[in-house]
Amino acid sequence: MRRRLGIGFWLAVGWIGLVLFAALLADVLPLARYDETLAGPPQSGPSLAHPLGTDGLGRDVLSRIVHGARVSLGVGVGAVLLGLLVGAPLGVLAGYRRKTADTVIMAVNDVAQAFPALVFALAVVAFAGASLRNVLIVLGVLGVPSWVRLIRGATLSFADREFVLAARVLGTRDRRILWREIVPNVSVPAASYAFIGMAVVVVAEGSLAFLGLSVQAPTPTWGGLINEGRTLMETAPHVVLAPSFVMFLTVLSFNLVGDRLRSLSDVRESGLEPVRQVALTPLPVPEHEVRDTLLQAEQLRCHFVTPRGVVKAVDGVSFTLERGRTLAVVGESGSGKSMLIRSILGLLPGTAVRGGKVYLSGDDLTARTPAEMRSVLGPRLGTVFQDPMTALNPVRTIGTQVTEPLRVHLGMGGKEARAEAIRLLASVGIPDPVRVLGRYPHQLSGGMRQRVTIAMALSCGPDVLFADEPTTALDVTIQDQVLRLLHQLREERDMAVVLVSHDLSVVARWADEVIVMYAGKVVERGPAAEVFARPRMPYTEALLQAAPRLTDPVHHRLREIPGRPPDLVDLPAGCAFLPRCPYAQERCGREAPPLVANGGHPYACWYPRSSDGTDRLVEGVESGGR
Amino acid sequence: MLLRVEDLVVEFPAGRGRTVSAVAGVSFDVARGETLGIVGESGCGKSSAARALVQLPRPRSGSVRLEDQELTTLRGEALRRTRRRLQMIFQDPISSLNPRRRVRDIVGEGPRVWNLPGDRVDEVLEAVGLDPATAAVRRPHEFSGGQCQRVSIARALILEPEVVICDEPVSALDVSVQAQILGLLEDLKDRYRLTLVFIAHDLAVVKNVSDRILVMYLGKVCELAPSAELIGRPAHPYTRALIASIPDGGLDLPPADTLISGEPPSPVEPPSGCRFRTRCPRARERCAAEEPQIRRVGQDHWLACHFPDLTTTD
Repeated sequence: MRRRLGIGFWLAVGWIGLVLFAALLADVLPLARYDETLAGPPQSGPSLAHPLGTDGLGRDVLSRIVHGARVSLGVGVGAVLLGLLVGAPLGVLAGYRRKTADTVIMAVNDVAQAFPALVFALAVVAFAGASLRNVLIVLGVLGVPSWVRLIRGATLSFADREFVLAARVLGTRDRRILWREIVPNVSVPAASYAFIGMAVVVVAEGSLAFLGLSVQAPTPTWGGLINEGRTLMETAPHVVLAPSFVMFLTVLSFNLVGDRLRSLSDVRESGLEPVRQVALTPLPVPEHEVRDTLLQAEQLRCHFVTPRGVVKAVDGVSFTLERGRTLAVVGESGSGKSMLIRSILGLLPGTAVRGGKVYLSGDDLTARTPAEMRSVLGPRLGTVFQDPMTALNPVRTIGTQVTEPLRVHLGMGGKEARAEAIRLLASVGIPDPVRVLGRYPHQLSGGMRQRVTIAMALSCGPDVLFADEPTTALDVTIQDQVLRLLHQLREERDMAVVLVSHDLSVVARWADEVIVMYAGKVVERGPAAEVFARPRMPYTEALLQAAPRLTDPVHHRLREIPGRPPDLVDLPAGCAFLPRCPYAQERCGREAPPLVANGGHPYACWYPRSSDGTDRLVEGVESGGR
Repeated sequence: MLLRVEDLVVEFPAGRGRTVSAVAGVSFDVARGETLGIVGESGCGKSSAARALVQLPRPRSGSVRLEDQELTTLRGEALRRTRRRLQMIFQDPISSLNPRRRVRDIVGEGPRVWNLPGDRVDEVLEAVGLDPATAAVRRPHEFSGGQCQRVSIARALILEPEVVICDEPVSALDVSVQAQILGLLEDLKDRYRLTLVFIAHDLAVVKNVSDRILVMYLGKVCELAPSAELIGRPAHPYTRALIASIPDGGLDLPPADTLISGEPPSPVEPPSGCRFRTRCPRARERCAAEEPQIRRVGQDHWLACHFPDLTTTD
């Protein structure tokens, strides 16, 4: 998909092109001579013969600006190219070779960068004479240290990537790796910086010219024009304003182009980024009864409006959860399981449209404003996320972070909060909690950090704990410890737990009930033991047979689910699993199967697997599908 | 033996003159056509060992022999010539492909480097399950993670290597895609008569593809045995803890929290003697004083432990 660069970018490119074109063809264009005095009446305003008026000596201002562009752009492009030609090879060398080369180059570079640039420029131009060549060389050389730094940084970040290692394993020689793997990747940030660099140089040249230290009269330069017009500010302001405005537009354009180019090197857009301007009309809520239970979700929806269409990340999910139970939400990436949690908690990005209802002990959470939700998040709903490092503030101590909810929500004083924090940290199995209070997150291991976030989630005694992939970033022996801890805390505190996981063995071991999600919908729901032993929906069955288990024989052929999860913008009309399902029939393409229970747990399928598991042996795994 | 590794040592500088001992004397061998699985938790040195096999970077000491060729002493062009025989697949499917190149160029890079005809690109793309007509002209970001991993496999295969080192090739993938890639690796192994070194942190995945499994902990080998033997009769306390930590592990082991405690120590200052002793419930004085040497405890079953649990071994 082509990226949109925006109208601003093309206007900027157009302006730079125009200035460049005028500068190159200055002698051919039907303009008055720039040094012809009394081409018109002195200090006259814009007229047909002189579109930008004349200066104090009656010279045509437009012509002088166009000729001045030669100097400005010449110096801009020339100095940047000079800086690039010297700086880029040094930067690539330092970033790719590292070790001694890097140390030496960067040491010299740091010294060069510490040199006062303006003083250097003034000195050189004053001594060597103010010619175009000298100005160009001075500004070019001054730019070298920044180039080295930029190119080295970019090279370093790419030299560490695995594709460079892969190239070496292929036996590619260094020179080819540099040209084929590194340079194309470094060239985008380099191009971006070149444009921004040109803007800097144009301003620098203008400043030197203003001080009379750039190319000397009679050759016009933009800075020189502004300097000359200074005395006429009162009587003929256009003499100053015209070159100032041209210079301003040019510098702005260079910066704009540079910025847009830089955003090109960022993560590629998928076309699924939410559109910002969208009328946030809540989705309709169907009739339902509010049950007497701890947590109830009713027809919960979460949609995003994107340039490609509406993404139904969560599409009509209902469930209830009692105290002392663990509900697991299972699904592959993109199934909507994390968005489901965020919909319940009201922690959606501003571009999401939410529908449906969430009741906590009969209290409608969806009717609350974000400010009102704050009194529920923490005291009643606790959260633990996958990466503890993003959940903890890296520059604050564990102590301040654990005591904060205690002070804010429970109104504890400093001493009391500290004592409670120590008790909490000890309860999640952290050895020596007093010492940990004074530490920063990076000083703890991943497992310890996750224990801290669990302690924080539990600090206000929540009724429901939401754990979104809480152990995915942890080692398996630590994972077992953390899950065991969550289970034990659930028992002690009589909480409910909502556990989001992609790991079926974790879910089978620790959950009471399970929801299987596919493309934003619940496709099967029920007691974990029953769903795993006798899955009815073919997707659940396939997922179970695709996961390797320790009890399988060696070289056991796993079930392969063909294809990939569906594009949420472009869902098939009927069942979303249809293209990957070996048992699909004609009806599946016409009607989406509803979630129904035929005497067992609910599932969404027209042609479910039998509840006693007999057809699994008969039809086998390999039949059809591919 | 096709690949023979002896006493491999990999160290990295850790600042302030200290060193991280990533791999501390690991030995194993791999027979032609075999899949050796290497399993261990983060920081156990399995990836460092994999990279030391291809000499990127070169190990501090030890020997890596590919048939009769010692790789650790080769330099420059001589080392480069061995590259075709030993290829590698990486964990991150996105980061292992150059975002600015098309799939045809990525996969065709090997033949171009070696001045071979590039006409096999379509064949290997088809072998890894990609349609050459549509896939070849696209760039990596237009593919899903699983498809990117297929491209990486195609890049490795086109040089017809003898050994392919797979460093966590499926851990970034969803379950359904993981099964596809594991099945693909098994198919390609037969078709191209490959020898695999398969590295992962997930014991169930490793068991699925490996003939033998090597368990590593903090740079050391704990146990090495045929897969079924290792999972069915684990003798090293760490192996037992690893199996018990997996829900639904199948073995009738005591709960994992009685088999292992605490957190892995820093590889900058590894414990004296047995490196696992700080977390081992069976550890005694001897474990701190004397490092257990690897020894044979059964048919092709190797172990480094003073007080192994041989109750499940008959």
